[in-house]
Amino acid sequence: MKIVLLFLLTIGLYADIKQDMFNLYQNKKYEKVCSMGFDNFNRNNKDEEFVSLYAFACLNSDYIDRLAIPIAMLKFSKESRSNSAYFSVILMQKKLLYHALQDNYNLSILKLPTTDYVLSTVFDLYSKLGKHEPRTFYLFEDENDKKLTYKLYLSKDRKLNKMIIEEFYDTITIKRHVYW
Amino acid sequence: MLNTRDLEQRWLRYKIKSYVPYFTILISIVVISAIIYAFFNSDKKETIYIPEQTNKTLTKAPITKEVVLNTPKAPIIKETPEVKSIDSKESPIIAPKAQEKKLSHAKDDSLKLVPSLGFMKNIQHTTLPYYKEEPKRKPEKVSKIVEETQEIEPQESIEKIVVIEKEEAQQISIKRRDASNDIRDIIKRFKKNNNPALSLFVAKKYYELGEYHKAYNYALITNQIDRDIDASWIIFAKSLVKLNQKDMAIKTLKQYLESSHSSSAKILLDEIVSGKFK
Repeated sequence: MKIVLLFLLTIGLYADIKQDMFNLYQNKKYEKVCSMGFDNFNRNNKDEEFVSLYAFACLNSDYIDRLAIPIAMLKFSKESRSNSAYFSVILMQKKLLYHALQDNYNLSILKLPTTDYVLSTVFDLYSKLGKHEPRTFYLFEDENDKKLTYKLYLSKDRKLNKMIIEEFYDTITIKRHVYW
Repeated sequence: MLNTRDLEQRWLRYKIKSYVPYFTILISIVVISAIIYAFFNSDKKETIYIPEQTNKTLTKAPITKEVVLNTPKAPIIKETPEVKSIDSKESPIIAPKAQEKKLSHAKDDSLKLVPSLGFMKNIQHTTLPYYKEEPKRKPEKVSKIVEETQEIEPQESIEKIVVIEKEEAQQISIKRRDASNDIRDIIKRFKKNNNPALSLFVAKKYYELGEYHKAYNYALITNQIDRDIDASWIIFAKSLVKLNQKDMAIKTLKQYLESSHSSSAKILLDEIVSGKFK
Protein backbone atom coordinates (compact mmCIF):
# COMPACT_ATOMS: atom_id res chain seq x y z
CA MET A 1 0.00 0.00 0.00
CA LYS A 2 2.82 2.33 0.89
CA ILE A 3 4.44 1.77 -2.46
CA VAL A 4 1.24 2.63 -4.28
CA LEU A 5 0.80 5.77 -2.23
CA LEU A 6 4.38 6.82 -2.87
CA PHE A 7 3.93 6.12 -6.55
CA LEU A 8 0.79 8.27 -6.76
CA LEU A 9 2.33 11.03 -4.65
CA THR A 10 5.38 11.19 -6.90
CA ILE A 11 3.24 11.49 -10.02
CA GLY A 12 1.24 14.26 -8.33
CA LEU A 13 4.37 16.17 -7.39
CA TYR A 14 5.81 15.98 -10.90
CA ALA A 15 2.58 17.23 -12.41
CA ASP A 16 2.55 20.09 -9.94
CA ILE A 17 6.03 21.21 -10.93
CA LYS A 18 5.10 21.18 -14.59
CA GLN A 19 1.96 23.20 -13.97
CA ASP A 20 3.80 25.71 -11.83
CA MET A 21 6.32 26.09 -14.58
CA PHE A 22 3.58 26.52 -17.14
CA ASN A 23 1.85 29.20 -15.09
CA LEU A 24 5.11 31.06 -14.73
CA TYR A 25 5.78 30.66 -18.44
CA GLN A 26 2.43 32.21 -19.24
CA ASN A 27 3.38 35.08 -17.00
CA LYS A 28 6.60 35.45 -19.01
CA LYS A 29 8.87 34.50 -16.13
CA TYR A 30 11.12 32.61 -18.50
CA GLU A 31 14.28 32.79 -16.46
CA LYS A 32 12.55 31.33 -13.42
CA VAL A 33 10.99 28.54 -15.48
CA CYS A 34 14.39 27.76 -16.96
CA SER A 35 16.04 27.47 -13.56
CA MET A 36 13.11 25.44 -12.17
CA GLY A 37 13.37 23.09 -15.11
CA PHE A 38 17.10 22.83 -14.64
CA ASP A 39 16.69 21.88 -10.97
CA ASN A 40 14.03 19.26 -11.67
CA PHE A 41 15.31 18.01 -14.97
CA ASN A 42 16.62 14.61 -13.87
CA ARG A 43 13.30 13.62 -12.35
CA ASN A 44 11.29 14.68 -15.40
CA ASN A 45 13.58 14.00 -18.30
CA LYS A 46 11.24 11.37 -19.73
CA ASP A 47 8.37 13.83 -19.96
CA GLU A 48 8.69 15.55 -23.32
CA GLU A 49 6.19 18.27 -22.41
CA PHE A 50 8.33 19.18 -19.43
CA VAL A 51 11.52 19.12 -21.50
CA SER A 52 9.95 21.25 -24.24
CA LEU A 53 8.64 23.79 -21.73
CA TYR A 54 12.05 23.98 -20.09
CA ALA A 55 13.76 24.40 -23.45
CA PHE A 56 11.45 27.20 -24.63
CA ALA A 57 11.86 29.02 -21.32
CA CYS A 58 15.65 28.78 -21.60
CA LEU A 59 15.50 29.95 -25.21
CA ASN A 60 13.41 32.97 -24.26
CA SER A 61 15.76 33.83 -21.43
CA ASP A 62 18.80 33.49 -23.74
CA TYR A 63 20.29 30.46 -22.00
CA ILE A 64 21.01 28.86 -25.34
CA ASP A 65 23.61 26.38 -24.11
CA ARG A 66 21.00 24.71 -21.92
CA LEU A 67 19.22 23.63 -25.08
CA ALA A 68 21.87 21.00 -25.74
CA ILE A 69 20.30 18.38 -23.49
CA PRO A 70 16.67 18.94 -24.63
CA ILE A 71 17.92 18.67 -28.22
CA ALA A 72 19.17 15.19 -27.43
CA MET A 73 16.14 14.21 -25.37
CA LEU A 74 13.34 15.36 -27.67
CA LYS A 75 12.85 12.59 -30.17
CA PHE A 76 9.77 10.49 -29.39
CA SER A 77 7.08 12.51 -31.13
CA LYS A 78 6.82 14.53 -34.31
CA GLU A 79 6.38 17.76 -32.38
CA SER A 80 9.39 17.05 -30.20
CA ARG A 81 11.59 16.25 -33.16
CA SER A 82 10.49 19.46 -34.84
CA ASN A 83 11.33 21.48 -31.74
CA SER A 84 14.62 19.63 -31.36
CA ALA A 85 15.60 20.63 -34.91
CA TYR A 86 14.50 24.22 -34.20
CA PHE A 87 16.64 24.42 -31.07
CA SER A 88 19.63 22.77 -32.70
CA VAL A 89 19.64 25.33 -35.54
CA ILE A 90 19.64 28.17 -33.02
CA LEU A 91 22.37 26.57 -30.94
CA MET A 92 24.52 25.97 -34.01
CA GLN A 93 24.00 29.51 -35.28
CA LYS A 94 24.97 30.90 -31.91
CA LYS A 95 28.18 28.89 -31.85
CA LEU A 96 29.04 29.77 -35.44
CA LEU A 97 28.33 33.47 -35.00
CA TYR A 98 30.43 33.58 -31.84
CA HIS A 99 33.25 31.77 -33.66
CA ALA A 100 32.97 34.22 -36.56
CA LEU A 101 33.09 37.27 -34.30
CA GLN A 102 35.99 35.98 -32.24
CA ASP A 103 38.08 34.35 -34.94
CA ASN A 104 36.80 35.97 -38.12
CA TYR A 105 35.41 32.70 -39.42
CA ASN A 106 33.72 33.11 -42.78
CA LEU A 107 30.01 32.29 -42.55
CA SER A 108 29.03 33.31 -46.06
CA ILE A 109 29.86 29.89 -47.49
CA LEU A 110 27.27 28.26 -45.25
CA LYS A 111 23.65 27.80 -46.16
CA LEU A 112 21.63 26.89 -43.11
CA PRO A 113 17.95 26.83 -42.27
CA THR A 114 16.72 29.84 -40.38
CA THR A 115 14.20 30.50 -37.60
CA ASP A 116 12.15 33.39 -36.26
CA TYR A 117 14.50 33.80 -33.31
CA VAL A 118 16.54 37.04 -33.17
CA LEU A 119 19.85 35.19 -33.25
CA SER A 120 18.92 33.55 -36.54
CA THR A 121 17.93 36.88 -38.05
CA VAL A 122 21.25 38.41 -37.06
CA PHE A 123 23.10 35.30 -38.21
CA ASP A 124 21.51 35.58 -41.66
CA LEU A 125 22.33 39.26 -41.91
CA TYR A 126 25.90 38.69 -40.76
CA SER A 127 26.51 35.82 -43.16
CA LYS A 128 25.34 38.02 -46.03
CA LEU A 129 28.28 40.34 -45.41
CA GLY A 130 30.68 37.81 -46.87
CA LYS A 131 34.34 37.80 -46.01
CA HIS A 132 35.34 41.08 -44.40
CA GLU A 133 37.69 42.72 -41.96
CA PRO A 134 36.54 42.49 -38.34
CA ARG A 135 34.64 45.53 -37.09
CA THR A 136 34.02 47.07 -33.71
CA PHE A 137 30.33 46.49 -34.12
CA TYR A 138 27.80 45.74 -36.79
CA LEU A 139 24.48 47.44 -37.46
CA PHE A 140 21.89 45.56 -39.42
CA GLU A 141 18.55 46.78 -40.65
CA ASP A 142 15.64 44.37 -40.47
CA GLU A 143 14.44 43.32 -43.89
CA ASN A 144 10.76 43.54 -42.99
CA ASP A 145 10.73 46.57 -40.72
CA LYS A 146 13.10 49.40 -41.56
CA LYS A 147 12.75 50.96 -38.15
CA LEU A 148 14.03 47.81 -36.51
CA THR A 149 17.81 47.52 -36.31
CA TYR A 150 20.18 45.08 -34.66
CA LYS A 151 23.54 45.91 -33.20
CA LEU A 152 25.99 43.05 -32.90
CA TYR A 153 29.25 43.27 -31.04
CA LEU A 154 31.59 41.49 -28.68
CA SER A 155 31.96 42.70 -25.15
CA LYS A 156 34.80 42.01 -22.81
CA ASP A 157 34.11 40.25 -19.56
CA ARG A 158 36.63 39.15 -16.93
CA LYS A 159 37.37 35.81 -18.50
CA LEU A 160 35.25 35.43 -21.57
CA ASN A 161 34.18 37.70 -24.38
CA LYS A 162 30.42 37.86 -24.72
CA MET A 163 28.38 38.30 -27.83
CA ILE A 164 25.75 41.02 -27.54
CA ILE A 165 22.76 41.59 -29.78
CA GLU A 166 20.78 44.74 -29.17
CA GLU A 167 17.45 45.38 -30.81
CA PHE A 168 16.56 48.96 -31.58
CA TYR A 169 13.32 50.43 -32.75
CA ASP A 170 13.74 53.99 -33.98
CA THR A 171 16.97 54.30 -31.95
CA ILE A 172 15.25 53.10 -28.79
CA THR A 173 16.65 49.93 -27.26
CA ILE A 174 13.99 47.26 -27.09
CA LYS A 175 15.92 44.19 -25.99
CA ARG A 176 19.43 43.19 -25.20
CA HIS A 177 20.58 39.60 -25.61
CA VAL A 178 23.84 38.34 -24.13
CA TYR A 179 25.38 35.09 -25.34
CA TRP A 180 28.63 33.38 -24.55
CA MET B 1 10.49 -34.78 22.92
CA LEU B 2 9.71 -31.93 20.59
CA ASN B 3 11.58 -31.65 17.34
CA THR B 4 12.24 -27.90 17.50
CA ARG B 5 14.09 -27.74 14.20
CA ASP B 6 11.20 -29.21 12.32
CA LEU B 7 8.81 -26.97 14.16
CA GLU B 8 10.81 -23.87 13.30
CA GLN B 9 10.83 -24.83 9.61
CA ARG B 10 7.11 -25.38 9.64
CA TRP B 11 6.55 -22.10 11.40
CA LEU B 12 8.67 -20.32 8.77
CA ARG B 13 6.69 -21.90 5.93
CA TYR B 14 3.45 -20.95 7.63
CA LYS B 15 4.65 -17.39 8.06
CA ILE B 16 5.70 -17.06 4.43
CA LYS B 17 2.39 -18.48 3.26
CA SER B 18 0.47 -16.03 5.40
CA TYR B 19 2.19 -13.09 3.57
CA VAL B 20 1.51 -14.43 0.09
CA PRO B 21 -2.01 -12.94 -0.33
CA TYR B 22 -0.79 -9.50 0.77
CA PHE B 23 2.05 -9.60 -1.71
CA THR B 24 -0.25 -10.71 -4.48
CA ILE B 25 -2.71 -7.91 -3.80
CA LEU B 26 0.05 -5.34 -3.60
CA ILE B 27 1.69 -6.40 -6.83
CA SER B 28 -1.62 -6.48 -8.69
CA ILE B 29 -2.49 -2.96 -7.44
CA VAL B 30 0.87 -1.63 -8.60
CA VAL B 31 0.50 -3.29 -11.99
CA ILE B 32 -3.07 -2.03 -12.44
CA SER B 33 -2.19 1.53 -11.45
CA ALA B 34 0.83 1.49 -13.76
CA ILE B 35 -1.36 0.29 -16.64
CA ILE B 36 -3.98 2.96 -15.90
CA TYR B 37 -1.32 5.67 -15.74
CA ALA B 38 0.25 4.50 -18.98
CA PHE B 39 -3.18 4.37 -20.63
CA PHE B 40 -4.08 7.93 -19.64
CA ASN B 41 -0.66 9.18 -20.57
CA SER B 42 -0.83 7.71 -24.03
CA ASP B 43 -4.32 9.17 -24.40
CA LYS B 44 -2.99 12.61 -23.61
CA LYS B 45 -0.17 12.27 -26.09
CA GLU B 46 -2.60 11.36 -28.80
CA THR B 47 -4.67 14.46 -28.13
CA ILE B 48 -1.60 16.60 -28.54
CA TYR B 49 -0.12 15.13 -31.59
CA ILE B 50 -3.15 14.53 -33.76
CA PRO B 51 -3.74 18.25 -34.36
CA GLU B 52 -0.02 18.69 -34.80
CA GLN B 53 -0.11 16.60 -37.90
CA THR B 54 -1.69 19.55 -39.65
CA ASN B 55 1.09 21.86 -38.49
CA LYS B 56 4.02 22.18 -40.76
CA THR B 57 7.25 21.43 -39.01
CA LEU B 58 9.33 22.54 -41.90
CA THR B 59 7.83 25.39 -43.84
CA LYS B 60 9.21 27.77 -46.36
CA ALA B 61 10.14 31.35 -45.64
CA PRO B 62 6.70 32.84 -44.89
CA ILE B 63 5.36 31.68 -41.56
CA THR B 64 1.96 32.10 -39.99
CA LYS B 65 1.42 35.04 -37.73
CA GLU B 66 0.11 32.84 -34.95
CA VAL B 67 3.32 30.95 -34.60
CA VAL B 68 5.30 34.11 -34.25
CA LEU B 69 2.94 35.37 -31.59
CA ASN B 70 3.28 32.17 -29.68
CA THR B 71 6.94 32.68 -29.05
CA PRO B 72 7.14 35.63 -26.75
CA LYS B 73 10.55 36.87 -25.84
CA ALA B 74 11.59 38.18 -22.51
CA PRO B 75 13.37 41.47 -22.21
CA ILE B 76 16.85 40.54 -21.07
CA ILE B 77 18.52 42.67 -18.49
CA LYS B 78 21.90 41.38 -17.68
CA GLU B 79 25.13 42.84 -16.48
CA THR B 80 26.48 45.55 -18.74
CA PRO B 81 29.95 44.60 -19.76
CA GLU B 82 32.24 47.08 -21.35
CA VAL B 83 32.57 47.07 -25.09
CA LYS B 84 35.70 45.50 -26.43
CA SER B 85 37.07 46.98 -29.56
CA ILE B 86 38.29 44.23 -31.81
CA ASP B 87 40.15 46.71 -33.88
CA SER B 88 40.21 50.19 -32.41
CA LYS B 89 41.28 51.71 -35.72
CA GLU B 90 38.25 50.34 -37.44
CA SER B 91 35.35 52.70 -37.56
CA PRO B 92 31.84 51.29 -37.15
CA ILE B 93 30.41 50.50 -40.50
CA ILE B 94 26.77 49.89 -41.23
CA ALA B 95 26.31 46.71 -43.18
CA PRO B 96 26.11 47.75 -46.80
CA LYS B 97 22.65 47.27 -48.19
CA ALA B 98 23.95 46.20 -51.56
CA GLN B 99 25.62 43.22 -49.99
CA GLU B 100 22.54 42.40 -47.99
CA LYS B 101 20.36 42.45 -51.07
CA LYS B 102 22.85 40.35 -52.97
CA LEU B 103 21.95 37.25 -51.09
CA SER B 104 18.34 38.05 -50.21
CA HIS B 105 17.22 35.73 -52.96
CA ALA B 106 19.19 32.92 -51.38
CA LYS B 107 17.30 33.39 -48.12
CA ASP B 108 13.97 32.89 -49.81
CA ASP B 109 15.10 29.45 -50.82
CA SER B 110 16.33 28.46 -47.39
CA LEU B 111 14.06 26.64 -45.00
CA LYS B 112 12.58 28.31 -42.00
CA LEU B 113 12.05 26.23 -38.90
CA VAL B 114 9.20 27.18 -36.63
CA PRO B 115 8.58 26.09 -33.04
CA SER B 116 5.73 23.68 -32.35
CA LEU B 117 3.88 24.76 -29.24
CA GLY B 118 1.09 22.20 -29.33
CA PHE B 119 2.30 20.59 -26.13
CA MET B 120 1.36 23.74 -24.26
CA LYS B 121 -2.31 23.26 -25.08
CA ASN B 122 -2.21 19.95 -23.31
CA ILE B 123 -0.60 21.44 -20.24
CA GLN B 124 -3.04 24.33 -20.34
CA HIS B 125 -6.06 22.01 -20.12
CA THR B 126 -4.87 20.73 -16.80
CA THR B 127 -3.75 24.07 -15.44
CA LEU B 128 -4.80 24.96 -11.92
CA PRO B 129 -6.16 28.42 -11.02
CA TYR B 130 -3.60 30.91 -12.11
CA TYR B 131 -3.08 33.08 -9.08
CA LYS B 132 -2.82 30.44 -6.41
CA GLU B 133 0.72 31.53 -5.51
CA GLU B 134 1.03 34.96 -6.99
CA PRO B 135 0.76 37.74 -4.44
CA LYS B 136 -2.14 40.03 -5.11
CA ARG B 137 -0.91 43.48 -5.83
CA LYS B 138 -3.12 46.46 -5.94
CA PRO B 139 -1.08 49.64 -6.03
CA GLU B 140 -2.84 52.91 -5.59
CA LYS B 141 -1.73 54.07 -9.02
CA VAL B 142 -3.93 51.55 -10.72
CA SER B 143 -7.05 52.82 -9.12
CA LYS B 144 -6.03 56.28 -10.20
CA ILE B 145 -5.95 55.22 -13.82
CA VAL B 146 -9.19 53.34 -13.45
CA GLU B 147 -10.90 56.42 -12.12
CA GLU B 148 -9.75 58.40 -15.10
CA THR B 149 -10.81 55.80 -17.57
CA GLN B 150 -14.26 55.85 -16.09
CA GLU B 151 -14.67 59.31 -17.51
CA ILE B 152 -14.62 58.13 -21.09
CA GLU B 153 -18.11 56.78 -20.84
CA PRO B 154 -20.13 59.15 -18.79
CA GLN B 155 -23.36 57.16 -18.93
CA GLU B 156 -22.04 53.97 -17.39
CA SER B 157 -19.44 53.12 -14.80
CA ILE B 158 -16.68 50.66 -15.59
CA GLU B 159 -18.22 48.12 -13.27
CA LYS B 160 -21.41 48.27 -15.24
CA ILE B 161 -19.49 47.80 -18.44
CA VAL B 162 -17.82 44.72 -17.05
CA VAL B 163 -21.17 43.28 -15.96
CA ILE B 164 -22.70 44.03 -19.34
CA GLU B 165 -19.66 42.51 -20.94
CA LYS B 166 -20.23 39.30 -19.04
CA GLU B 167 -23.77 39.21 -20.28
CA GLU B 168 -22.71 40.01 -23.79
CA ALA B 169 -20.05 37.37 -23.68
CA GLN B 170 -22.73 34.74 -23.61
CA GLN B 171 -24.38 36.06 -26.75
CA ILE B 172 -21.49 37.09 -28.86
CA SER B 173 -22.44 37.19 -32.48
CA ILE B 174 -19.34 37.79 -34.45
CA LYS B 175 -19.37 37.16 -38.15
CA ARG B 176 -16.23 35.09 -38.14
CA ARG B 177 -17.33 31.84 -36.65
CA ASP B 178 -13.91 30.49 -35.68
CA ALA B 179 -12.86 33.68 -33.92
CA SER B 180 -16.12 33.91 -31.95
CA ASN B 181 -15.80 30.32 -30.80
CA ASP B 182 -12.22 30.91 -29.78
CA ILE B 183 -13.12 34.02 -27.83
CA ARG B 184 -16.06 32.32 -26.12
CA ASP B 185 -13.89 29.43 -25.09
CA ILE B 186 -11.21 31.74 -23.80
CA ILE B 187 -13.66 33.90 -21.88
CA LYS B 188 -14.92 30.76 -20.15
CA ARG B 189 -11.41 29.78 -19.23
CA PHE B 190 -10.62 33.29 -18.08
CA LYS B 191 -13.64 33.26 -15.76
CA LYS B 192 -12.35 30.04 -14.24
CA ASN B 193 -8.73 30.89 -13.61
CA ASN B 194 -8.51 34.68 -13.93
CA ASN B 195 -5.39 34.45 -16.01
CA PRO B 196 -4.37 37.86 -17.43
CA ALA B 197 -2.82 36.19 -20.47
CA LEU B 198 -6.30 35.02 -21.47
CA SER B 199 -8.00 38.38 -20.97
CA LEU B 200 -5.20 40.01 -22.93
CA PHE B 201 -5.77 37.54 -25.72
CA VAL B 202 -9.48 38.37 -25.72
CA ALA B 203 -8.68 42.09 -25.78
CA LYS B 204 -6.34 41.59 -28.73
CA LYS B 205 -8.88 39.52 -30.60
CA TYR B 206 -11.64 42.07 -30.06
CA TYR B 207 -9.28 44.78 -31.19
CA GLU B 208 -8.48 42.84 -34.35
CA LEU B 209 -12.18 42.39 -34.97
CA GLY B 210 -12.72 46.11 -34.60
CA GLU B 211 -14.78 45.84 -31.41
CA TYR B 212 -12.89 48.51 -29.60
CA HIS B 213 -15.28 48.84 -26.66
CA LYS B 214 -14.81 45.21 -25.75
CA ALA B 215 -11.08 45.37 -26.42
CA TYR B 216 -10.92 48.35 -24.08
CA ASN B 217 -12.85 46.53 -21.36
CA TYR B 218 -10.72 43.40 -21.48
CA ALA B 219 -7.51 45.39 -21.60
CA LEU B 220 -8.76 47.26 -18.54
CA ILE B 221 -9.48 43.98 -16.73
CA THR B 222 -6.02 42.74 -17.65
CA ASN B 223 -4.45 45.89 -16.29
CA GLN B 224 -6.36 45.48 -13.05
CA ILE B 225 -5.04 41.94 -12.63
CA ASP B 226 -1.49 42.65 -13.68
CA ARG B 227 -0.42 46.19 -14.39
CA ASP B 228 3.01 45.21 -15.74
CA ILE B 229 1.89 43.78 -19.06
CA ASP B 230 3.01 46.13 -21.81
CA ALA B 231 0.80 44.65 -24.50
CA SER B 232 -2.29 45.20 -22.40
CA TRP B 233 -1.60 48.90 -21.91
CA ILE B 234 -0.91 49.22 -25.61
CA ILE B 235 -4.22 47.63 -26.58
CA PHE B 236 -5.91 49.78 -23.94
CA ALA B 237 -4.45 52.96 -25.40
CA LYS B 238 -5.07 51.92 -28.99
CA SER B 239 -8.69 51.15 -28.19
CA LEU B 240 -9.07 54.56 -26.57
CA VAL B 241 -7.74 56.22 -29.71
CA LYS B 242 -10.17 54.21 -31.81
CA LEU B 243 -12.96 55.30 -29.49
CA ASN B 244 -12.00 58.94 -30.19
CA GLN B 245 -10.46 59.35 -26.77
CA LYS B 246 -7.02 60.37 -27.98
CA ASP B 247 -6.32 62.67 -25.02
CA MET B 248 -7.21 59.97 -22.56
CA ALA B 249 -4.96 57.52 -24.38
CA ILE B 250 -2.05 59.95 -24.25
CA LYS B 251 -2.65 60.65 -20.58
CA THR B 252 -2.86 56.96 -19.72
CA LEU B 253 0.29 56.10 -21.65
CA LYS B 254 2.18 58.94 -20.01
CA GLN B 255 1.19 57.70 -16.58
CA TYR B 256 2.14 54.18 -17.49
CA LEU B 257 5.52 55.34 -18.80
CA GLU B 258 6.25 57.03 -15.51
CA SER B 259 6.32 53.66 -13.81
CA SER B 260 7.44 51.29 -16.55
CA HIS B 261 9.66 53.08 -19.10
CA SER B 262 8.38 50.70 -21.72
CA SER B 263 9.87 51.35 -25.13
CA SER B 264 6.88 50.02 -27.05
CA ALA B 265 4.54 52.25 -25.04
CA LYS B 266 6.82 55.17 -25.78
CA ILE B 267 6.74 54.38 -29.49
CA LEU B 268 2.96 54.20 -29.44
CA LEU B 269 2.72 57.44 -27.50
CA ASP B 270 4.90 59.19 -30.10
CA GLU B 271 2.82 57.79 -32.90
CA ILE B 272 -0.43 58.93 -31.28
CA VAL B 273 0.93 62.39 -30.55
CA SER B 274 2.33 62.80 -34.07
CA GLY B 275 -0.92 61.56 -35.55
CA LYS B 276 0.60 58.51 -37.23
CA PHE B 277 -1.70 56.25 -35.28
CA LYS B 278 -5.33 57.09 -35.82
